[in-house]
Amino acid sequence: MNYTTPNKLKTIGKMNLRISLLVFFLVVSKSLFSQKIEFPIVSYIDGDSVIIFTTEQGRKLVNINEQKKECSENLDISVQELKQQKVITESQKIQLENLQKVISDKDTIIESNKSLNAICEDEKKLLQKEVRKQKIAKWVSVGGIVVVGILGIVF
Amino acid sequence: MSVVNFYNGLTTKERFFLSLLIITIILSSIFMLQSYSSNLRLKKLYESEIQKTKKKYLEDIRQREENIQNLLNKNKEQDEVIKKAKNSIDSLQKVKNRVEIKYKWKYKEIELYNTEQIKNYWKNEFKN
Repeated sequence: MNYTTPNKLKTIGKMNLRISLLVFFLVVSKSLFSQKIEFPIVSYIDGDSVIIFTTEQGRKLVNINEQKKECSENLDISVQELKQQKVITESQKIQLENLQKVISDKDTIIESNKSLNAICEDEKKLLQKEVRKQKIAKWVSVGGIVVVGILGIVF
Repeated sequence: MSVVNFYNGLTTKERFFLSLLIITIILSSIFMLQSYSSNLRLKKLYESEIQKTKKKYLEDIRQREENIQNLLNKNKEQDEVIKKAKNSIDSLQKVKNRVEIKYKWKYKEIELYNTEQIKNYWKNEFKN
């Protein structure tokens, strides 16, 4: 009996160790297998390396792709708008230049009209002078005729 | 004869003065005629110069008014160009709005996509 007790204890100890190891491996393997896989993952199918996404990730990518398409379409429209704005700006520039020329021409016309007015004023003055001169000449000739007549009668 | 008698009746001094008077009258008449004709010539020249200047000014005014009319016509043409461009911009704005609505719907649709639809979407994308 004295020899059997230590053997039994030894066997029990070994058993405990095995059970503890088994429990340890079970816990480790469980914790390993129960860990959630983080997608996307790379896998090999039929010799091709593939990237696997979740449905949610795939949806997100679809969204991003569509946003890119929307941006591209908006960009095209904006480029066309910009072109049209440039056309408007150019046209307005031309109009502005033309209006400036019109202003300059109008100024010159005003100056020409002023000069013409001055010439007409001069002509008017000359004509008035001429009329006065002719009136004087008329009175002088009348006076002359009267004097000659009186002299004729007297002598 | 009476003029001859009158002359014969004058003294030498009186004859001298009469002759001087006649010569003076003739010379002053010539001078007056000459000055009158030169005055007339100058007046005509002045008038023709004035007419030329006036004509030049009037021609210049006419040309400038014509030029102004041309410039205003050009501006009208540019108005047409601007109008077209503005219409084009309005159309583009409408297209932009349509694009915005289209994609709003698309994003809503995508939210409801299942796995099969996502797969088909990408298949189509790569087909294109």
